[in-house]
Formats: sequence, C-alpha cells, structure tokens
Amino acid sequence: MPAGATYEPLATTTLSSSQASITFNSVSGSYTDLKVVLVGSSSTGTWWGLRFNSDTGTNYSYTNVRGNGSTVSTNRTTNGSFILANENNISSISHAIYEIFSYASTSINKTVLGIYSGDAVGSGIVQRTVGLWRSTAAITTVEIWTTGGANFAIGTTATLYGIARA
Amino acid sequence: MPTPTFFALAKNNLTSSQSSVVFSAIPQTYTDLYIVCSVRNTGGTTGTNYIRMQANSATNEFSGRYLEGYGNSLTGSGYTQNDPYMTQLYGNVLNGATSNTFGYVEIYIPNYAGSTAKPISATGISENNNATASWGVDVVASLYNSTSAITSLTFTPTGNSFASNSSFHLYGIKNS
Repeated sequence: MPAGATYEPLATTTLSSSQASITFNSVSGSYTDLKVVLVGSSSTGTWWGLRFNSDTGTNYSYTNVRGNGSTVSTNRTTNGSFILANENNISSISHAIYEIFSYASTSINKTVLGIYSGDAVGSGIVQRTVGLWRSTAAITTVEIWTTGGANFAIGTTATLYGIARA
Repeated sequence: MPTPTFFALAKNNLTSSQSSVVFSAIPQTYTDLYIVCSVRNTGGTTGTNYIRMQANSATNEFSGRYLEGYGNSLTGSGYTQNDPYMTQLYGNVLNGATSNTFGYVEIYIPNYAGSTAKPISATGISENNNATASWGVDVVASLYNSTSAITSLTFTPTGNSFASNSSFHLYGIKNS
C-alpha cells in the first residue's frame, strides 16, 4: 500500500480584534478534503454559520443532533442560505471542527460534517451537523460567521487543513 | 522538519457498483486507523440503509451504542455483542436522493494493532435537501471485543450495493 504525509496546515487566522467572520480565500485545490478547526468564543446564543464561495443563495441544507445536558434535539432546514454549524453556543471558549469532504470535486455536491463542543462547567452543548451545499463547483472560499450581530472574540483561532487521499 | 504522522494508506474508488469493499493486509506499523467513506446506494427511495464494517472475520465480536437524528425524530439504542459488524453507520445515500450527492462515514479505530479490545467511534452523515430520502446524522460508539490485531476491514451496505463513484479511504496515524 502506498503511504505519504497527507495532513497539511494551509492557513491560520487568529483574531487581534473582534470580528463577525473568518474567511479563508484562494483555497488550494490540491487536496481531497478540508478540515477547519476553530477555537474561540462569541456571545451566548449566537449561531455560527458556514458558507462557500460567497454563495448567499438558498443552496444549503442541514440536519443536526444536539444536547445540552438536559435536553436532546434534532433539527433540519432545507433550502437555506447557509449551513448552521452550531446553535446557541456558550459564551466561554468552545471548539468546532468542520470537515468538508471532496471540496475540490467539480462533479458532486459538497457535504460537511460539523462538530461543536462547548462546556462551561455546569452548562454546555454537544452538536453534530451534516450540511450540504448544492453546488458542483470546487470550493475556493470558506467563510465562518456569527449571527445576531455578535462577533468572534479576540483570540479566536481558525486553522485550515488540507487532507489528501492515497 | 516535523515527523509525518498521518498517512494515506489505500483507497477504493468504485468504477462500478459493488456489494462490498475490502481493505486487506493492513500494515501493522501505525497506531490508529482512520477511514472515510463517500457512499451512494444503488437502490431505494425511502427509508434507511446503513453501512456496516466487519473487522477480520468477525462473527460475534461487535457491540455498540448510537444516537440518530433526522430533523423530525431522534432515536438512540444499541446492539449487543454477538454481532459480526459495527453497524448503524448512516452515510448510505439512497438512489432516489438528490443526484450528485453522497453520504459520508468517518471511523476512528485507536490501537488497531494492539492485543486489547478496540473501542471505535464513528459518525455517519447524509443530507440531500429533499423530503423523501437520505438525511440524518448518527453518532456511534462501538467495541470490537477481540484481542486480535485488525488486519482487514470489510464494508457492506445493509441492502443493495454501493453505487459507482462511491469511495473508501484508509489512513494510518502514528503517535510518534
């Protein structure tokens, strides 16, 4: 079986001032999957959305499962204008991973696995989300943004990795 | 120069439909295995169709717990030991789903070459924006209760076959 190094950090953004979004532009098409690892915070109750190639059309859908320690729930949205990566996050530091499969393909729609983990010692949220961007275009821009007028806090860090298959 | 730790070992890109996919002769020189499956099924319009994973020639070594959400319903349950498969991997998009759309399963097997039982985690996802088939998230915790090193992995759907252009990818991860 062939083997080779396959997990490459492509870019890292660390916020020196609060801002409403983090964007990775000009993403290389040389890999098979992308992974975004975000560690940071925004105001309690804000949602983190995910969009690709600046597409604000109703070309997204998602389904999730989530729990907060007392309640479990599942939600689905079709024909939305973004993928809702997590709902009502905690205000203290939390962590999200977005795995974007086959992002450079020009023949299939793009599926995302979102993992959100946040615990604030007495409260918290765990969430898994599947999202779909109904586009066969290769992804060249990844945007993560907050809703409700809140910003990502200073120090929030997002790293983009490229993963190549055999 | 940092030491590489994440290696792409093998892939199976299907050029025609297949009833199973096998990774055999898995090298024993890594610490963990990571598998990504991009899957579409040849049949079905509604309902669910899972992906199953068998390690070696397992007959009754798997058990598991899972949580599944579909947007309008949520379920959780388990399967007891005496199962030859890790199952409930919900990434098998049915043929009646939106075209050009695949489901995904990712599986992490720590210490696959060791001589203790293997706890395994997996997430299966499927979303296609329609209202008739193939959407949901499941999270699975499983145990391969065998002291044997894993040398092969076999993937099968619970119904019909894997469609052409489905793909399966095996990675090895070293801890030093």
